[in-house]
Amino acid sequence: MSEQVQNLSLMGYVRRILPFSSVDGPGNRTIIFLQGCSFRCGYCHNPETIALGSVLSTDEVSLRSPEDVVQEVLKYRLFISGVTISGGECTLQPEFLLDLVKALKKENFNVLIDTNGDFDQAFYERIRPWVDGFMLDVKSVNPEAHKELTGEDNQRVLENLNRMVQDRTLCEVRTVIVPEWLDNTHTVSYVSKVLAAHAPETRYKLIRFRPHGVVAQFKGKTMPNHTEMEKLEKIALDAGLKQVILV
Amino acid sequence: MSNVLSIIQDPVLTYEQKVISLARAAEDSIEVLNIPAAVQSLRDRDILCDLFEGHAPYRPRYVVVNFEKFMKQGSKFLEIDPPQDLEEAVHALLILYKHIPSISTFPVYIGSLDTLLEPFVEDEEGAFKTIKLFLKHIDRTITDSFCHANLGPEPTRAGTLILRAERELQDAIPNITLKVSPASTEDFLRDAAATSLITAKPSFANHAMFSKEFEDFADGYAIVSCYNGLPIGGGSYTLSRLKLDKLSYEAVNSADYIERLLPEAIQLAMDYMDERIRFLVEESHFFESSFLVREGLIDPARFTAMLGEVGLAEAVNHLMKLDGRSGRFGHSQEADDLGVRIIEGMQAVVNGHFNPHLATGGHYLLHAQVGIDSDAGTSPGCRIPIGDEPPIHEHLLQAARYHKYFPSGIGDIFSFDETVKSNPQVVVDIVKGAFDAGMRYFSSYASDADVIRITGYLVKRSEIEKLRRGEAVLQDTVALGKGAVDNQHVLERRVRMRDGLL
Repeated sequence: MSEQVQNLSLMGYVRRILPFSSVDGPGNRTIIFLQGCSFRCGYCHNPETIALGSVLSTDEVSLRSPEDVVQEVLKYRLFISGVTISGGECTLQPEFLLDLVKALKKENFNVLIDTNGDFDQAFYERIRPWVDGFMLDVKSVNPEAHKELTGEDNQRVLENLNRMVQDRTLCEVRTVIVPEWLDNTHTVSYVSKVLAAHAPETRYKLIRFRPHGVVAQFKGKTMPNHTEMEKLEKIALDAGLKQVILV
Repeated sequence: MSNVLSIIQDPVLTYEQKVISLARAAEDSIEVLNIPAAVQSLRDRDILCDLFEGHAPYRPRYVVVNFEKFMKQGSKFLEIDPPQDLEEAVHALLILYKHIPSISTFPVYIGSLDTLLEPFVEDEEGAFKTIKLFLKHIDRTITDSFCHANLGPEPTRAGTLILRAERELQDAIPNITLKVSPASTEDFLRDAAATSLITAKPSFANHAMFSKEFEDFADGYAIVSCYNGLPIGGGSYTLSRLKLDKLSYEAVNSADYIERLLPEAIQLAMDYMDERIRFLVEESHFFESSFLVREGLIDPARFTAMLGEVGLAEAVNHLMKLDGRSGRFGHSQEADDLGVRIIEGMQAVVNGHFNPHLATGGHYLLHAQVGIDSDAGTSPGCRIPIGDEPPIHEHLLQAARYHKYFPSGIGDIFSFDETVKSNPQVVVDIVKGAFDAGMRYFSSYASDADVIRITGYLVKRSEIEKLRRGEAVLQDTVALGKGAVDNQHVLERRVRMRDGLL
């Protein structure tokens, strides 16, 4: 009985495995999307990945063991640079995530964690030795705006940003640019300054907000124009960043 | 002779295209080959096709000149001394190109350009200008896309400059292949992959696989015309192809096809090619009169010939139905296994036939032919039909099963979403994985590129549109590309890695 419970604790809710992706880290990567997110972003394009627990439909989400997931990823091994674990927010299933990255590392995969940064320092310490890097979303550095956008505070996100930069474990930072609502200039300036101080080679991706498939509150908002994106790109480049990408 | 007058009066052909067409009409006005009735019947039933080689073979289909030798010795006949600097090197090559025969009248192989030019690269910016002009000259004067340059496997300054020039030029000619081995650095591969996403070249060849098959030839192999592996300093006398799908329509079931129809058809095809080779070697006096032979730039002892096939997918799908089974090629293990049995059957018959003129052990080499512009409903070689492609990771493993049987060429083409251009390592990862899985040859381009790979050769979409408007175009292969767009839907290839769809 106890063994069953222990085994069960190793299972995780997996939304989907995408064999190949060109936009989730360096090279061709297999992406493991875990189910569940701690944020409720108004501009989320994948709201179906947010819920976790009894509301889940088993047609769309499967409860899987790390070994089972690794077996699937091994089918794509020949063709990929590595694996990115994404979500939802993958750190919302911390024990499963840890077991999964250990199982992937056993097979010598390069492993990146794609995260919203909403986890504590203790977990960062536990997972850090098992992964090759993090890809972090910084949505807003303003606490009120962050709370309004995501429903959650940004303190842990910013702590993780600073910690990852100092440790040079950060592979990429992303900020979604929503015009006339978020203080984009402030966020891009802050992130660029932090990155430039310790890891100016880190890729900073500035992503245009796109109003398709978002919740009603965000449907009326416009995409940022070319001039605004270039202005933000210049801020990041002037801060000393080497790789600023507009998406 | 009405054909002659219609060529003369054609409102769209260029002067050069008319001269070539008139030469073909003259050749086709005589009958010199002894063609048995059974062979002729196979041709009349559209199962066997010699791909417009003409009625009287007076030059090999593919001539693969030993350019390394030419650079060392120059040419007495052309009165060219061995080049001493980059200008002399490209000048010598451009002269030689105009004297290399082929079925298209244009050279199908123009050398391993990086290693040929590397010894002469000193000032890189100066070399870049010369190389770019050289490549532009090739595009504007070798007006046929079945013209192929090779690169690699090692990175060179010349190779990097050629890739940079091609990214800027975005011309259809020459076709380029990068031979990939562990000696190809990641940076060089990434540079090549980025270039392929902009201008559909280079393609990538599995160097270990090709090298092993041509290890008996002192100077190795080259990739020529579409993607054909052939010995350097030799070539291929001829290439005829069998339409496997057409033949399957005469079968009772798959066993009847594999055991009776296919061996008969292959034997007749080889008899036909034997006769073409006999005339070329014994009666045309090509090998006695060519300065290329006299000066050792080609050697009759390095010539072979190729038996092509098209329509494996459609043949398998038809035979599966005849057998009362439901799977289809590219999507069912059973159907793919039947495909392998057919190709293995072909290989056995081909290896059981001996022709002393063939340098590859007296045997024809199997070739997965890319099709011709008029093919409709017949997929090239062993390819999965356009519109029915599985996700790329499944597609690669399926295709890899067939590549080992085709030393003289087989390949698959993948169109990538334009977002991949910002991460060309993706293509490098996929190519390396594909080669580890047993693929021989891989081509890629981005879905928004003007230069695209039609089946094995490159054409600009913008030139096809010109031809559609009734305007003359410089390159004869644009017309072939237009036919392939209309009949084979090559612009409708599955776009890979767009919005999470593979």
